[in-house]
Amino acid sequence: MKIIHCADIHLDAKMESSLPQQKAQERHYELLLQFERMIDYAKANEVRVVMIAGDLFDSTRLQSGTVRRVLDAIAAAREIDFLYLQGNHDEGRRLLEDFTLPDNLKLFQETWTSFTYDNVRITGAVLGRENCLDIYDSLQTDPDKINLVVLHGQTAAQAGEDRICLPRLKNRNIRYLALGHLHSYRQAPLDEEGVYCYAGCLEGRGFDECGEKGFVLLETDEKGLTSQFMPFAKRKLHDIGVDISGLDRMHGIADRMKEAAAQISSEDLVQFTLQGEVSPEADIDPAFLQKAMESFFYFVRIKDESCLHIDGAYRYDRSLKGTFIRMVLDSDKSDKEKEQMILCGLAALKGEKHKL
Amino acid sequence: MKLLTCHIENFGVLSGYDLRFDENLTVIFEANGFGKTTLAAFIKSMFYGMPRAVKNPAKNERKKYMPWQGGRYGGNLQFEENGKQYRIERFFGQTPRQDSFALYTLDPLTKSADYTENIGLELFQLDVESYEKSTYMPQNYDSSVFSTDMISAKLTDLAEETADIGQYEKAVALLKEKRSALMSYRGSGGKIERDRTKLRQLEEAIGEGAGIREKIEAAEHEKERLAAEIKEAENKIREIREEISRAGETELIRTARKRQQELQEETEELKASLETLLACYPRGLPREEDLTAVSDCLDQILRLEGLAETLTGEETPEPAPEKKKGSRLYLVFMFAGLPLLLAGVFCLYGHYNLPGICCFAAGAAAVLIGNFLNFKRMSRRFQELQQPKETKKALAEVQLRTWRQQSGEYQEQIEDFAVHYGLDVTPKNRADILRLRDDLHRKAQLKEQLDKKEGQLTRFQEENRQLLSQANPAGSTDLQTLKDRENTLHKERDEAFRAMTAQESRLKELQKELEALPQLEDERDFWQASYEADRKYLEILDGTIALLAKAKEKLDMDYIAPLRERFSHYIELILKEEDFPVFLNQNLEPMPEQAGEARALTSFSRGYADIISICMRFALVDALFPQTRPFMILDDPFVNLDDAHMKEALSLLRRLSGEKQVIYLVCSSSRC
Repeated sequence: MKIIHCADIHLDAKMESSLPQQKAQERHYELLLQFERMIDYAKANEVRVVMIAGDLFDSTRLQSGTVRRVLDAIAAAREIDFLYLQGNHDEGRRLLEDFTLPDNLKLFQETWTSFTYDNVRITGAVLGRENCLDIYDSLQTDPDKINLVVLHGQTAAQAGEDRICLPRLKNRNIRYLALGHLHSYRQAPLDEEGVYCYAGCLEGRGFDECGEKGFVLLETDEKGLTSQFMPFAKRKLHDIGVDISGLDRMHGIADRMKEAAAQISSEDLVQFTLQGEVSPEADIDPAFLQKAMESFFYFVRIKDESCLHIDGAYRYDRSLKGTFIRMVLDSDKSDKEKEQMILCGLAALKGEKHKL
Repeated sequence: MKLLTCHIENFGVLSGYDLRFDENLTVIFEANGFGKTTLAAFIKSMFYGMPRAVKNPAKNERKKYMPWQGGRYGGNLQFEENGKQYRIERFFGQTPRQDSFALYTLDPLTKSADYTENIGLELFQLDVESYEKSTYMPQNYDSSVFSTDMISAKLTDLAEETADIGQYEKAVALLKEKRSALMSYRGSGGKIERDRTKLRQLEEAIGEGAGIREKIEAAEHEKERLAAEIKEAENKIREIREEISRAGETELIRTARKRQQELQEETEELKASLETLLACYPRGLPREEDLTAVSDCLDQILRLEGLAETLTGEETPEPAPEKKKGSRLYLVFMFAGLPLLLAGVFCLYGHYNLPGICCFAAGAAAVLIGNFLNFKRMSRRFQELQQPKETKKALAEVQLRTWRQQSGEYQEQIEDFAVHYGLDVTPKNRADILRLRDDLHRKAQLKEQLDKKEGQLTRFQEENRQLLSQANPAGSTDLQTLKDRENTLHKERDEAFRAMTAQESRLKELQKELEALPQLEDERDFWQASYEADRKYLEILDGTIALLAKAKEKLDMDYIAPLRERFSHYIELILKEEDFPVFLNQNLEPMPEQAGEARALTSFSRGYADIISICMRFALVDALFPQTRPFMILDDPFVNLDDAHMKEALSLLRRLSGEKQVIYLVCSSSRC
């Protein structure tokens, strides 16, 4: 029997990658379409159960149309059971109350709820303030079956709200602890027999969610259980550091950026983080660089973390420029502010209005 | 500071060259191509090192001064600073990595850490370019530069370093223009204000959105309250229906009992009436046939009395025609026969032969019988009319007696009747008979009614045996009251249901409004980020403007004032009494004053201008090097001077070299 473990899809959540409005909307649609595509995959591969380990929605921004489309997609996959465990971002219960839930959508409750499929028993519980400390005691597994447990939260040594106390789940006949909350795939041993696994999110939403995203495909038989992470994201996010030290012309910087991102798909979202030390005289315009790179990728963002290289000469420069730089450097401003003021002052002294 | 000696191992065209500097004026008189400029570059490189190689050959000093035979190049330079003598040793390779630097103190020669390899910066507090432009006055110095309004004001290349003072106003204007675009100095214009307005609008809309959340919360509470109210009303309705059901049963029992009672009462009443009636007839009520007989008797008596009175009154009482039965029977046949005949005729006429024949035959028979009977009657009458009068009288008496006898018999029958039934009063007339008959009918009616009522009662009791067998119900609310209450509850429930439906619609509307919030919040975040970035940049601009102003002020204070002071000092040294006084104007332009009027330097002779320029150069060096007064290297700067001016220039040099060490490089004896 095949089972999909997915989590943290965060439908309707805010896009954290500073996308323009139109692209942010596109990504919202893509997230929803990816969920539907995962269902198509499940149908095509005879998956019996899809476990959603929390945060399917982002309740604070959830649109009723999204819920309707999700429920329609689930209802259309009649042969698959969807076991949905609500996470900390899924406070959309009230919204779900307005809909008729399809028969194949089954919800975990705040007490342990179990579903049995042949020799597989899937148990889960929504962790809340009330039950987070003592729910572990009431967990019952069937030693004659392959036990899967679904939870949402951060693994921890101590029990607590949004925390999953791994020590209290050890040696409880759990073969696979399906978790949600962290947005990157991660699997590690739980005890001698079992593992715990975060499926990660289906699609990255911000540049803090770079790398492969997808779901976990589980396969069970008489012998036991195997799991495999399935990269499934339509687009990946990349944060590429580009050292521009010594470069003082836009052309050279753009070339170095292209070189750094040579292996990245044009469908992806790329953030170039400019690093290193640059001369105040260097001609760096992040907006121009963004424009120059936009045609190569779905979305480009330039993050300028380079810092100015103020060489010793300025310290002994008797000109207005030198005096100004010394005054800025001696001021109580932050390093970033000092850099900005120096760039601003030098551009003004040179009459470079466009750099202001 | 004073230069003492230098040894050039290899540097450009110079190799194995040693030089001892004079304390005041060192004149190096060598032919062109000796390497005077190279010497100046060597001194500079000793203090500042050799810059990194650059692509531009003209500016690539590292390559330019590399010996033709290749290899490391450099040498040493000894100098005195603050009474302490040092020796710098530097050698250069193709790259800075191959360079070496060492600093020693002299007497004894020991390594010194007083300065690092950045000794030039540390000593002079001036970068290499400023040093070069201030201490080195090149041969190809374009004195015409000084003649321009701007540069002549600064007099030397060094002034170019401070030339950005001239850019100050433009720079600040640019910054202020940018600043005004963000936030005007006066009024409320600018992008920041527009962003703030936009933000405020969005915040208000989002604030209303937050209100929507509260409204949704309230609406959901209200919906829950109404749902509870509906549930409560339905529970009450259920309860009241049960109560109604119970009350209905009670009502049924009561109604049944009441009905039973009514039936029983009605039965008893009928029984009483019957008994009352029967009480009047202890021997029972006369039978109908008896009454008829009595009635007939009374009729006969009355008839006989009448006949007797008539007969008595008319002497010969006409015997009462004895009415024979069937005397009028002929009329019956006649009247029955005629219509049958007619019917038969009509039937035959209408071709209904069989019924026509039957009717016609029956009619004809009836008419014949009628005629026969009439004939018999008429014959009898005729016989009676033929009897004689006397006979009639006798007959009348006989008749009278007969009648009286008959009347007596009838009376006896009536009395027997009264005795038989125990009647108090013997019926004397028809009214009495009618009364008896009425009683008889009444008894029959009462009996019938009683039987019927008893039947009803029995049936009712059988049909409602279960109800009637139940105990008497306790007193409960009236059914109608309960029904009224149920109706009221229904109305309340329906009202609550309508209100809940309205709340649901309202919730959906509010939900839609709420769902529009994320877009507003995204927009708000965008404008907030833009606003904050602009605010930050505004601070940067303001800070830049302020620091530029401070820098200018400091520059003025640190350099310009000393420059004016030192310029005056040198001018006083060189000007004779007959010379025009010279001062620096606001733009640092030396302005000779002639006949009380300040005039441009270009108005004077080139030699005069050059001398003024030398003074300005010295003043600038003094201003720029407040701590260490460096030497001046003059690379044959007076090539354009005529002999008269040359003399004055050399005189000036000698005088100035008393103030600071001067190294004068010259290739012509005429200029030394």
